[in-house]
Parts: sequence; structure tokens; C-alpha cells
Amino acid sequence: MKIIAVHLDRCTGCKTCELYCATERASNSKTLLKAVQEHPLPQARVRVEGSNEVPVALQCRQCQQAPCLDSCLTGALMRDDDSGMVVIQENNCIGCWTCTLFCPYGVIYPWPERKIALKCDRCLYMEVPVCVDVCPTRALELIDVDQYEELLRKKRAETAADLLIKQKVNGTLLLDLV
Amino acid sequence: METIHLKTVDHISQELLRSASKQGLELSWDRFEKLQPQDGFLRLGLSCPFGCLQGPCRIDPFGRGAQKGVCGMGQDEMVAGMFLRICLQGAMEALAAVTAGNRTPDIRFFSTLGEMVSRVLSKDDQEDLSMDDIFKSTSMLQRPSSSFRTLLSQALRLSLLTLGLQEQGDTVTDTDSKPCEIGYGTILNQSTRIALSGTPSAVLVGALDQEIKKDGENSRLLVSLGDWIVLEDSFVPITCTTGESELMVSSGAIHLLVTGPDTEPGLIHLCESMNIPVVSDSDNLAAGDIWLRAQRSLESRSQLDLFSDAPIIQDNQVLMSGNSITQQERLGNEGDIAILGGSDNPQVSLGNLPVALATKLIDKKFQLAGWGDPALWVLKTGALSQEQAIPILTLENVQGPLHVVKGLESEGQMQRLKGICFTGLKSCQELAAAAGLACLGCRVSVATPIPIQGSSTVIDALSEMLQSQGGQLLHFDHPAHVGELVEWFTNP
Repeated sequence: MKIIAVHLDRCTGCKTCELYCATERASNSKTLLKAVQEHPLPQARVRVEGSNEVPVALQCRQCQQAPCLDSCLTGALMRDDDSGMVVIQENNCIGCWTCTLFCPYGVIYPWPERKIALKCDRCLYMEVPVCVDVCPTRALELIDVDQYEELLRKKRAETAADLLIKQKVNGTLLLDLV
Repeated sequence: METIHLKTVDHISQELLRSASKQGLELSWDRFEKLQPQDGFLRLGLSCPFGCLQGPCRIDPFGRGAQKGVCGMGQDEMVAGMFLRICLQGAMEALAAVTAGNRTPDIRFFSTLGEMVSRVLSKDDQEDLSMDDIFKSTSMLQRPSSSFRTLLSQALRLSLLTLGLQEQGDTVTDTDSKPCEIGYGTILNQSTRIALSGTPSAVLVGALDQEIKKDGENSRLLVSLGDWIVLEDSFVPITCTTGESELMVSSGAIHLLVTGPDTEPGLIHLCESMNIPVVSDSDNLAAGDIWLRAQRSLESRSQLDLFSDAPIIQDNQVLMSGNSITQQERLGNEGDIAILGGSDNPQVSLGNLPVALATKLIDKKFQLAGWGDPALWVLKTGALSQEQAIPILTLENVQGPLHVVKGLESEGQMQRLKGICFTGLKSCQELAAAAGLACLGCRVSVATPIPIQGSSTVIDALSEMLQSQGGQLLHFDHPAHVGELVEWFTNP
């Protein structure tokens, strides 16, 4: 199963992922310059939140125990057997938005103009999700869940190395951790 | 490699692309691909162009995020401000050519253009144009207190000022036409060759030309990489278009590069990576020293043998004034006229649009005139073709289409001009000139998107303002197709 990982240290908050997600996944024209003229305005399935210091691109985390699945009244939300993604069947969605209330990350969005809920399905029909493809700093990356542990191990190693440098410069490690 | 045919229509350039790829040289196309997608907010004009440090602010075109800047400015003002900023930059670029280091001059319009501009301004009871318009625009871009209509109106005044400055900066008025050799065929055998890029000083270019001739060498050893550089009685031979300049350098046929203002950094970096000496005109080196350096550079390199069969256009005359166009009846006394010009742009396949458009327009019995890269493409490709070359009047690059407009206006034949198409844009000056020509009542189209797409209100208002002067500035939300432009030329 592949998911979208977010490297927080690389995200500049430029919102390019938002623009192109809305264009590719929600517009009729599929080009940015035309999409902004459409009605209703296309909506993105990824949103950049946070601040200048810590911007974060947030999209559906594809929870293994997804509360949205249990909350869906019509069965519009389902797990795709092949990919393991939680997907929404727009034809069955009645726009009650119960799922948006249950989502612990707030990454299922109501789209009142089209009377449906909107969520990331990792661009299942594409080889690489559009947000990953367009990210100018490669802050978004498509990784296999099996690679996750390796990615985390690297992060831990980086953190440890960073702390070690600080320890050498500042004295005790304890001081830095406090 | 599989996309090479999409990058340029010239088969020699395609070979050069393959060769550069094998050598591992980074060219503008590689950089363009790495930059995809380019900043969406800027492409829409929704990245704030005002000179304030509360930002940077931008507006979400899809309506969920910020709809106003920190200062409270809205979407329409932001887009109109972007258009004003581009026109201001365009006017400043034209001004730089006029001042050339001297104090800022007063704007002087010559007779025909002066009358046309007065007519435009008097319609709306506007004040005469002056250099104060530049300072006023700068002031308007400090704080966003003006309405989007005021910003647009000021942008259009600057676009007219740009045309006046272009006319004023065009110092070559002593002759009606000058010859210019064009094409890869200007590259001869393994000789020392100096390339010029940007706008190096006329004094240095003249001295280099004399130095080469003093050695009894052919004047084609001094070549231009797409820029139209005037010598006393001719132009410096132009080997390639501006879009192909890096390809030309990658061939190894250039042994020294002389750069002036407007030279792109990529060209200098490429020379550095290939150990080709680069001399800036601000280095104040003597022409003899530069020629010696180039000769030394030749000894240490070899060039690709791609140019032996390359075509050369030798009998091309570049028209230097409006008089030469109408008085000599080069455009004839009747028939529709179309003008193509602008610059190469990596958004589209080099040469594809100008050549395809020129061919279709000739089929439809248009008389063609052109300037800049599109004119070079039409001439180059015509010479390559087995069929008859495409007849096009080549216009000098500083004023470009303005020559034809003034010529036709003075002869009372403006109705024959069906349109001016910028097939690609590189500088703000080009867009400002396009808007200025539309302001004068011409039908103008720009084939690549311009950054005002973020507000349909601004697009409509601009269109309405130009329409009141009888003009049009057609632009697209995608790179325009040949069919769309042919339709535009043929069905006003």
C-alpha cells in the first residue's frame, strides 16, 4: 500500500499542491488558467495549514481504522481492496457530511456547491498523485508503507545526529532536550 | 530524447540538442522542465506585486483561502497591479535604451506617433504623457489605494509611453534598410569566432568588426546569437534565434562570448562549463585583446561538423523605417497585412507557431511582415524548405511593428492591417508594447498566457478600455493554436 508522506522540513507552504489538486481532480478543463474561471470553483483535496514557520500539507491519512468509513450513512465511503485507499463514490454521497465530523484530521471537506464530500484518494488512477508530482521542493513523496519504517529510521538517525552536534556545541544533551 | 522534435522544428537544432544531451550540458529546456509547474499564483497574477513588506500575500483563486491581502486589497486590484507592474517594467526597459547611462530625458513623440497618441489621450481627456508617469506608477505601486480601473488606466498610459521611448531610443534613422545574413549557414569552417549576446556597446562591436577585418578575415567571424546588432552598414550576422543561443554555444563553434546587458545567465554558465572565455562589455577590454583571446581559445577546442549544409539567407534586407515600407511600396497598395513578432519561449516548440502561422497566412493572401525571433524562424525555415521561401518583410527589432503602423497611418491605410501577433514573449517591454499598440487602435494578439488570468473582472475591463480606442489585446489561457490565430486574423 502506497501513501503520501510529508517531509515537514521541506514544505515551504507555497500551496502549489492545492492549486494543482483542485485543477486536476475537480475541474472540467484540467488546466489551471481555465479552472479558475469555472463555476463552481474547483476544490482541492489537499490543504496547506500551519504558519510561516511550520507549514503542513494535509490530506487524508488513509487510516487503517478509519472512523469516516463507520460514519458514512450511505456506504459512499469504502476501502478499495486493491490499493487499500479509502475512496468516496460520489454518486452515492448525499452530502450529509457526517464523515467530515468524524475525521480526526479534518481532511474530508464539504463541497456544498456539488453537494458531496471531498477527500484525497491518492489519485488512484494516476501513477503519481498530482500533489506529489508538482511539489517544487519534493516535500510530498509517495512511499510504500513497507518503506515507512526505513524512512522513520532515517529521521531518527538525523534527529540523533542533530542532537549530538548541539550537545558538542552547548554542553549537556539534557539541557537541549529541556 | 523522445521529446526533441517537440522542442524545435529546426533539424540542425535537434541534432545539437542530442549532442548537448550526450555531453551532459544543461540547457534552457532542462531548466524549464525542472521548474514545472511554474508558480501558479504568479501565473494568474494573484501574487501581490505591490512594494510592501507585510506580505508576501497571495489570493486563493479557488475561493477557500485568503481573498484579500494583509492590507485588505482584493483580487481585482492585485491582478491590475500586476499588469501595471509589468507595463512599468516595460517602460523602464525602453527608457534604459534611451538614457544609456545619461540623465533621464524628456519624452518626445515624433509626428505620426505623436498624433496617434494625442488622439488616444484626448478621447478620455487625459493629460499628456511625460516621464512623471513613471514616477506616478511607482508611487501607485507603493500602496494599493487605487481602484483596479485606475491601475489599468495607468498601465495603458505606460504602454503608450513605452512605444514613444522605443521610437526615441531607435537611433538608426539614417537609412531605409540594412542587409542582414541569417542562419546556421553563417558558421563557416573551423575559424576563430566571436559571438555577441544581449546589447553590447556599439563602440565595442564596431571595434571588434574593424579588428577582424584588419586581419583580412571574413566579417562572419563576428556573429550574433539572436540579437539584432547594428554595424555601420549592415547587421552583425545572426546565426540563430535567441531560443537557440545555448545550442549554438554547445556546438563548440563559438570561441569567445561577448556579453552586453540582457544576456541571460544560463548562456554565461554554459560557456563557463565548456571553458569558453566570456568577456563583458563592461570589462573595458580592447578589441585587439578580445580577438587574441578568441584565437587562443580556438586552439584548444573542436567543433561539431553540423553546419556544412546549413542554409544561409544572404539577400535579406531589414527595413529600418516606416517610409521604407510604404513609399517603396513593399507592402503594395492593397491587400491585407499581418505582422508576426516577439521572442522564442520554451513553453512552445521553437519555430513551430511562427512558421505554421506564416504559411497559413500566405495561403490566405496576406502580406507578411515580421520582427524578432518569429521573423528569423520564417526566413530560416523558408530557406530550408524545398518549396518557395515564405515572403516576409523583416522589420528592425527596436520599434518592430511600430514601423508598419506609422507607415500605414501616414498613408491613411490602417484598415489594411488585420493584426499584430506576438507569438511569444520574453520581456515586459514586449507586453507593454503589445498593450500600447492595442491602445493605438490595432488588433493585437499574444499567443502565450499573460499573468492576468486570476480576475475575469480585470480581463473584461481591460478589453473594454481597449475597445473604446478601437483596439484589442487578445490573450489566451493556454498556448494558442495556429488555427485560433488564423481564425483571428481572417475574421476580425
